[in-house]
Amino acid sequence: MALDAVFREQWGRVLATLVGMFRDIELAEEVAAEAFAIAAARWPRDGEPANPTGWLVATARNRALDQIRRKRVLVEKSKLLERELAVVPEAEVDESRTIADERLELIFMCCHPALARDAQVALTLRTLGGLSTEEIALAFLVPFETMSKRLTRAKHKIRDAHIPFAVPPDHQLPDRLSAVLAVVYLIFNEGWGGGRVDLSADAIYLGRALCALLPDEGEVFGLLALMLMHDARRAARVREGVAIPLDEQDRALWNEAQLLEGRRLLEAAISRGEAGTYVLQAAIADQHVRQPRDWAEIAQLYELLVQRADSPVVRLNWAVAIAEVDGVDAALAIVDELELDHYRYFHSTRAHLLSRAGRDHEAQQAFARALELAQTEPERRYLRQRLAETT
Amino acid sequence: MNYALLAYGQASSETRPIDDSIAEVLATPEVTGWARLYPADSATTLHTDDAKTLLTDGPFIESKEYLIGLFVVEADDLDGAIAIAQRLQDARENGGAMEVRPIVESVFRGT
Repeated sequence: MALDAVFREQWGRVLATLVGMFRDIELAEEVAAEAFAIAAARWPRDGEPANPTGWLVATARNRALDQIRRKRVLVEKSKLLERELAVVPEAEVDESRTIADERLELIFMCCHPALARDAQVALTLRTLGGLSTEEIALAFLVPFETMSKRLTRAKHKIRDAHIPFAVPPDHQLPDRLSAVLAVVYLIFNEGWGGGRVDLSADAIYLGRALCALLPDEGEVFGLLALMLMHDARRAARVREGVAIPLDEQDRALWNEAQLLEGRRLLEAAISRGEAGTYVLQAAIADQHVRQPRDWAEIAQLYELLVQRADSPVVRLNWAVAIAEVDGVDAALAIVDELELDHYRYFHSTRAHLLSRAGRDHEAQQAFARALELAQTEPERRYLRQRLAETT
Repeated sequence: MNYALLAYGQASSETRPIDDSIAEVLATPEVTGWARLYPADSATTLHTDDAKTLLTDGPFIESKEYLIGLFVVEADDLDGAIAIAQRLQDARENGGAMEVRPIVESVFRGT
């Protein structure tokens, strides 16, 4: 297996095991990186060991113990406080022993509510996603120094405040899991909306890992289904530099295999009795790719979503379905109540509805406002075309 | 009569032992307890309003609320400390904030 692929596969697992041993992410990262570097030098020459994870963990652990021993000497010599010394694990690590997968513990640690959301996102990408600090900084359009400090602060807080390395107890699991899913979905959206394709792939990778680790949680399946279905349409969203709405997309460009996989995951989630927000959103996404569209069904799903997770954006999307079921005026009644002036899709949706209602002048103003807020060139081109039509 | 002395300042990143001159004072019997805290970045704040509690990263930044109490707890990890804080918050009639800060080292002799 190419070393890059091994790296990807193994980084999260090796790191999780080391964090479990030493409860110090910084130390774990350092020694894991050293172990991977040694592997990169030796394995092409000597061949891959029978148990790569075991080898990497054992190698990294030894280097960590060396570091701790050196630090202990330093502490004694300069009479520094011992508080920063990592815990020394008891058992020896046999290279051939199967390493338990502790990535769940790691992701719950990284997404702990005592950490700020942006820190949760950065830490998840760094530890489980294996992205470098530079890559994460670039992905979020933030200076390297800022991202570096953010990560360091979060790691120190985990260490100093003893944020647990554990899967939360049952009574806390629903809340804590929804934080993890929110982080993964945020990563996906940053990659999807802003045109940075790679992050969405990382989010899907994390989603798959979560599905494997939590096979009984319907919402985890729901999230993966939702991401796969959105991602499946990626190639069709822009044509000749112009953003293409769903109705006008070339379906031949949709990734059918991904849509099918999404649908299967959705069905699996529903069969588990799950009707949480991600499952609902995935069901809606699934409805949208069917022809002809069952707008009544879509409207009903949005009503459920409003009950479960009411927000102006959810209501905005609900209104689009209502337009098809109860007419444009009913939809505008919903939209006009919303306070979403900063949101470009609020204005573009409103513009479309106004245009259908024959209120061309207002539609024009709304398209113009949407254009002001547009974030990508393909979106701008699309809106300019719509604006030209209403003039 | 018992008093709480609350020290404010800039935290140093060094983890040197306590200054000898301070340690001297702390060793006197009148000082019945003391704790040295980790810096503000290690803090987590609970804010309870109308029986709903919000958990945020970071120290409590005073606006209209002032320090009114001081508790020292023991727990295996942050979740344990937050659970105790939550129970105290639930018991408070008028809501308010509570910061949870880990302790570097401490001594408590009681009164």
